[in-house]
Amino acid sequence: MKWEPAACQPGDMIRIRLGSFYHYGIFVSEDEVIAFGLPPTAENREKEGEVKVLATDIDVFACGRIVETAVLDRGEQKRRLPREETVARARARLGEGGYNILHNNCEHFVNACVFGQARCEQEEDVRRRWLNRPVCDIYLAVIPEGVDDAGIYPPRRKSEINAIASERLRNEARFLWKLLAAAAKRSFRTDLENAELKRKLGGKWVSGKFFFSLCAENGVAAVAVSNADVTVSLGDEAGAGRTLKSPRITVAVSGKNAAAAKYFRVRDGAVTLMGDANFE
Amino acid sequence: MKRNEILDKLKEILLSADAGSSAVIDSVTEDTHLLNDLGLSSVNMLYLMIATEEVFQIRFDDVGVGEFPTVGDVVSYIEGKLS
Repeated sequence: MKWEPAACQPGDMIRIRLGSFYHYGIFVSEDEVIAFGLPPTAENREKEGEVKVLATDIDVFACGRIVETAVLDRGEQKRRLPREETVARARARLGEGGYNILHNNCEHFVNACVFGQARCEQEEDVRRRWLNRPVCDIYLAVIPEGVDDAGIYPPRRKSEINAIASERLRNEARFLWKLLAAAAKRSFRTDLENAELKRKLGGKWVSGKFFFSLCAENGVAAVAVSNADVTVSLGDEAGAGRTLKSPRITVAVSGKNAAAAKYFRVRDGAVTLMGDANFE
Repeated sequence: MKRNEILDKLKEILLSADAGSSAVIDSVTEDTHLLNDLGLSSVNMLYLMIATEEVFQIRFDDVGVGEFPTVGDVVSYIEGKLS
């Protein structure tokens, strides 16, 4: 679908641009444009009570903006309802309320009239932006003494960890995997049982659902989870990073989404988002 | 979910929405005004609502953007939906 300032026919989908958004309507004639609400200008917001489907003339709809007409591609032309049915559907909804900015807005209305299916590309675009956002969450915690092996998944990793001879390293590993489980749950709503964990030939554990990196140093554990390759390091050898005030330790993150890193402190099972005040 | 946990998750969303720098984490409270203090654009308000739906698995089915002047108002709405 293209949008052009072209001549309109009855049953056309039209729109005007208002700031970052568009206001949509169904063109019937110069004297009749049917839309879900007035164009949401500051002036109209003040005088409009409940937002309803209404008919105005083209000047009120345009409120001084350029009116664009939807030019449908061949597939869309096949899918669209006959023009007279579009007009009939729009007229049948005059006076209807129930406006909702996300789920029942002016774009849903025109798509329902033209294609018989209420949808909003503006909302879908923003939702895609959220779902595809860079995720790089770093969870930091002080490693407690005497961590048990309850709940560590997968069983093969649990066995590997339990076979570690050094008590300190075994304790670290148990805690890191428990912290990874908490991080996966919080950042990706995924239990490790569903994280498609597998051990690569080199011995590194990976997930099919997200990228992760584990590190322990000086009694502190760090787990990074991301939707791109990520590495987290701790301590003076970690290189350029941010220095946590308490416990004082440098945290370095690298990877595609490192710039979007968010840091969380985990203490007694509670997770707190850390801001700049927590770092030197 | 406690109010402070909801607030923390909202701060994460605001960070993703690019509502200011990471200092937003330290400065945002329930009294923070979404438009006046954070200067959220209408696109960012939409982003906040959609991300909130995704994170908390709720649906803004009965409200408009303008009904949330402050961060605390959003927290209260989510709290009500989750209870």
